[in-house]
Amino acid sequence: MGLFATVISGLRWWHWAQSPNLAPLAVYKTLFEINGFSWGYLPIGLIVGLSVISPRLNDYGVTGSRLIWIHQLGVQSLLLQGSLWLVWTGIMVARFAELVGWPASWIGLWGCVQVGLNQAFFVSVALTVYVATQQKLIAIVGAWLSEMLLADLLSGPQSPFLRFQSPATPEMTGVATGLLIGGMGLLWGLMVLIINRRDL
Amino acid sequence: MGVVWQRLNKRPLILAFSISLVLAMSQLYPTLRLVGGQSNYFDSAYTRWLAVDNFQSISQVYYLVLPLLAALPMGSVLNQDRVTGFLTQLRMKVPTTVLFRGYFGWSFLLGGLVTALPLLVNLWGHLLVLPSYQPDNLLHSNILAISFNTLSVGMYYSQPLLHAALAIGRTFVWGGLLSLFVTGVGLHTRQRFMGIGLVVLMQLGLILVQPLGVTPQSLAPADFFRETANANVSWAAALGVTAVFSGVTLYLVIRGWRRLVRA
Repeated sequence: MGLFATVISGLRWWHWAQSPNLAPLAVYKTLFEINGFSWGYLPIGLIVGLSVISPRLNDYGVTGSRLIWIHQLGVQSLLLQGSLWLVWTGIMVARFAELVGWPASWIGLWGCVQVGLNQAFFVSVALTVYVATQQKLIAIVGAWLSEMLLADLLSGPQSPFLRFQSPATPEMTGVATGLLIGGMGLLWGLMVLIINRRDL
Repeated sequence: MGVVWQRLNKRPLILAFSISLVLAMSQLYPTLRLVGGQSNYFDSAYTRWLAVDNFQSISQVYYLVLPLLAALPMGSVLNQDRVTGFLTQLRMKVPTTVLFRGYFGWSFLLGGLVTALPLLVNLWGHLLVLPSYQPDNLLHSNILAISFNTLSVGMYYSQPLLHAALAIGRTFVWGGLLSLFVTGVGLHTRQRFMGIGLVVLMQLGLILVQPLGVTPQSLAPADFFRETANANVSWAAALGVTAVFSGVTLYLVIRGWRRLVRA
């Protein structure tokens, strides 16, 4: 499935490779359009990520701590989502550099970092639903559907979400990033709470 | 089929049906606001309901998550029963043919109903609120129902109700096929999620490949479920994809079941 996702990403890149002579900002807006995230990247990340994770590879008895489940969820998600993000970033930055030159490609990298932050947030939402319900499908449907339905609201100028659409000032980026990381912290705290309250 | 129905966990079924119904009714909501008289005189139910609406993102969302919703009630039940050993227990008490009909029959039926019934409710809601005028190719040119993006476009303008019924029928068949495919894949792997992941990624892949111009017509099921699509569609491509997908699904189901029975 990871290979399939990589092929899809590559095909998208190939598609955008047909747009000739665009200004850097126009290239940026084309590469980082919101539908590409909502309809392509996020569902691939959620499906690839959640389909293979298993929080109970090492069980409670090995460490005597329930936090082992959280650690395993975290490490596996980091590896899977990180791999996807690296492939995606490589393709996007290479394409950006090809169209507007290497000196300007940091803007593409900035967009990929923002995409990665949003990816991490929505994957955390899906993992929280998974920990609460023990149902991967419900977790994916819940996270993906809520992102798609709230996309207009979440991409508003005052929202910390989906800020990859247009480059912003460092202050705005800092606040948005802080809020996203804080939100993720809350979600992971909630997961710890759920796991600690659940019967073994 | 009663044995499998009794075994079925009803919560995923209710959840899938609720989600698809909420999505379908959310698309109807803007039309309800027209009841107070702000409607254009030429508004028709057939030009505003979910399967013809290319303007609201909710209708795009509905067709994107359709494979997940179709597979949610019954897609992974057989895999679960096989892995836990419950199927072996059932086979000692119930004839294999009855079990086969039960699992695959319910899989097809529930997959189809969960995806098609909300469309029927949405169309019915529109017909209650708006007049059922026949669409006109000049008055309703904004919806751009033309031969390139609409299957049997002549029928859409002359027999819109029949055309809408055909779109709902296609959705029912494909909802059932998608659920059946997930059930079939579940017979070949212990990974419960493999089949669902495959259908969703296949649909996304076909949608993403479409703009590349690899094929003149869209091969993505989401494009030919609807009455009008955002891509070029044709009956040949729609029937071809349906035939290939049905063949693969039947192969997975029959071969998987035979292997299971012989084991």
